[in-house]
Amino acid sequence: MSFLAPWYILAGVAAVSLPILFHMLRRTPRGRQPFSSLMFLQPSPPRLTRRSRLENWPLLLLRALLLIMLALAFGRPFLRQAWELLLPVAPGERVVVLLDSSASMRRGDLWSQAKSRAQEVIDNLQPEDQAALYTFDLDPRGIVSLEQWQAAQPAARPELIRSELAGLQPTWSATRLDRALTTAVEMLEQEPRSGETSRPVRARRIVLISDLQTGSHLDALQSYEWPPDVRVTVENLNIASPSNASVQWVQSASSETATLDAERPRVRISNAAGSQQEQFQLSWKSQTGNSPPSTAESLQIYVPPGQSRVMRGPKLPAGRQAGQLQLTGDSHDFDNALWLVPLRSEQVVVGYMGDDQATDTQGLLYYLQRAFPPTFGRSVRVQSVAEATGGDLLELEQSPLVVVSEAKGKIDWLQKKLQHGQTVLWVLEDVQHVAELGQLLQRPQLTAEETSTDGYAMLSDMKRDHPLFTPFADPRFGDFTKIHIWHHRPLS
Amino acid sequence: MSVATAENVRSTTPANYIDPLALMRIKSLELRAKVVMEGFFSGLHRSPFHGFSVEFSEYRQYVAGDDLRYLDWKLFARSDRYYIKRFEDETNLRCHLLLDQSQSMNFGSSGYTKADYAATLCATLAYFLNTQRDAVGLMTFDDHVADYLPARYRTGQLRRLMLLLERPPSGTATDLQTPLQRAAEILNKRGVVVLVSDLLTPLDGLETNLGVLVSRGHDVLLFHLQDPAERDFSFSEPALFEDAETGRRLYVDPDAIREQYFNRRSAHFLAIKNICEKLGVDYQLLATDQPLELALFDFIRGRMARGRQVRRTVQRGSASGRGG
Repeated sequence: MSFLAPWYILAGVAAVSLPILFHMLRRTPRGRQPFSSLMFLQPSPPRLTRRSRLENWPLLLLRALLLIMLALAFGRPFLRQAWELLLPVAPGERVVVLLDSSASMRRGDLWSQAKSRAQEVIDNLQPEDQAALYTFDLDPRGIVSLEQWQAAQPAARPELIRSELAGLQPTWSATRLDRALTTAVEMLEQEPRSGETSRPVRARRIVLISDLQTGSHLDALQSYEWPPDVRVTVENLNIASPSNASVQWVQSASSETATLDAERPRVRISNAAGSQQEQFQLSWKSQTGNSPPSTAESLQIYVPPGQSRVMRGPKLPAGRQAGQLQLTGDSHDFDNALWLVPLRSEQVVVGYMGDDQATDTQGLLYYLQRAFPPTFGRSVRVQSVAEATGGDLLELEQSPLVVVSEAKGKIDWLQKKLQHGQTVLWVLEDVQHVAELGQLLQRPQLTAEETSTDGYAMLSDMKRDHPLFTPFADPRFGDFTKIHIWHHRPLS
Repeated sequence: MSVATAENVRSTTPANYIDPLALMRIKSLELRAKVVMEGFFSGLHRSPFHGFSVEFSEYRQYVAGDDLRYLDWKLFARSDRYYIKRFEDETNLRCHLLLDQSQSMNFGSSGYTKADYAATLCATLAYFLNTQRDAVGLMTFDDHVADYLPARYRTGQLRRLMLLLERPPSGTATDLQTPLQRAAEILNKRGVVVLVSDLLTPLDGLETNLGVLVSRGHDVLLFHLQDPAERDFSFSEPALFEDAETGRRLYVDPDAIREQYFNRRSAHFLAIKNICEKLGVDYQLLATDQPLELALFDFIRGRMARGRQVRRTVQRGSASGRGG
């Protein structure tokens, strides 16, 4: 044991002698007692011998002990002990660096500024911190993930980032800041995979390096529940001449205006906050691209600096399906072009094998036809395999999904589809068909039996990591408690 | 008729007595005396003491020279003999209270001093005697006689007596010789002499002076006061003990000399008691934490016994006189 302040111990030892000294001192009685008469009293001999001896041993010991304890306390004793300092245990900060690589970063020296800022942030990290580097435009892209950072040696980490940064270039895409931020939050919240030791995290931080263009979307953040422990540090990049306007396509909320959108698409014109310009022109670029658009075809737009306008663009010249909308009038033209191509409705064929009629409400086909309502971008047609002829057969070969209630000997055809990576949904309507299913699965011993429960059964265990069921991995869609099953046929 | 003694009363009904400490809080001495008296009488009515004063009634055969006014003519008519009623003459006794006011009486450990207690005792006795139409007088003394109030029964006598009692003691040492000699000189008419003192003084001459009083026909009662602290010597810490009268200081370790103190004190007390027994003086040792009613009981009991004893003493005295 050692002492931080050993002088107090010496002082304490010296102080212990004080109570002993006080006990040794012979005290003369100071008390005076008036009494009626001294005629019966005799003077007592002074008790020299008793006084010189130590009296009240417990009291003396207590006083000495008190002083010793005080001296010890002031001496601040400590024990020397080898203590293993667990560095990985020290909580670090988890940082995701979001580097804007959208087209707006092509302006001036923004990109070199951004790269040096990113490197600066990385260099300032402590050894126990974790970091990841992401770039983003329309979608975030991981450049250095947390796992890669962890795998690298602490000394090599800044160099890893530097080498990755050197190869990066800004893209021509627009900015979706909301997607980038939500992805970064997911990265920060991500727990280490099983098998890795969990490292305590002191704080979570997103470093956003961007020029923060007005047109960068933040819509998704409005409905996003931001975790309270994630902070965002914004490294704002500035440019000498900020006069910039951009044009973006605005998707219509409903399909009713689709036709109109094809002729006069809805666009958003955003003007940068410090912009010197307010007057812009929007026009369709001619197909040759050489001749500038005439004033009659172009749309004059007034957008004050720092604001945006949503409007319908000029009418697409007759006879054209697609084209390029061009914004003119600002200093930077990297975000002034908008290519528009009309959407084509996708035709999908779903095959059906079974002998029930489409009008039979007790049959499977009746409900299958109603399971795929047509949408704006996709229409689904259910084609019975038995009735297919000619072109239908060709389409059935390509169909991604075949629903089977009765195979009727077409096991080979189904197997071929499976081999092509397509999906076969077998609805076992009768236990007698289990032999065909076993044939398809190449398990001849497969059996099934009719089972009915007293109450109802529910789906309990689902392989959500299977590609088919991945959409149900999200708890919002993975609730099957409202599906009640009274009869089912378990396979064994 | 069963007669309860003072001891019986002490042991049976202690709660009926007034706590001396509470009593001493009453400022007026007269009121204190009244309170004690009322307590005493209320106890009296509950006790079989009722009617003891009639025992004083006595007839003596007429001898030539007796005052004819005291002849009981009714008895003469019944028995054809001459008897003198002695009762009425002797109940109108004259009582002198001799109060020690030396500095040693100024000691007290119970919140009041022995002097307070003694004054209250004297006031109570005076009040009691005054209600019985007896003459009361007072003589206060320390090393000499300080105040003297002759025994009278008249209006204002009690008031004057109370005033003298309320005067704070100014004396220094106790000297019993001079006051007792002076009392013997002054009190030429027979009566009762009550001496209230702590007797913390050498006993030289006490026997002689008391003997003079007794020989002059006085009934002498001695109330010997002591403080509880003197009685128990309840000190534990060594200290410088200071004499109240001389101011002399003495370093005393109570634990060391306690036994010796008790021995010397009891020897002193025994000597006093022996003197009293020898002279026929009624001796009462009173601690100041005892109720005052007990002192009154002792006084009355002493008076009753004295009445008989005096007669016997007189008879013995006359017989021995004749024999010598």
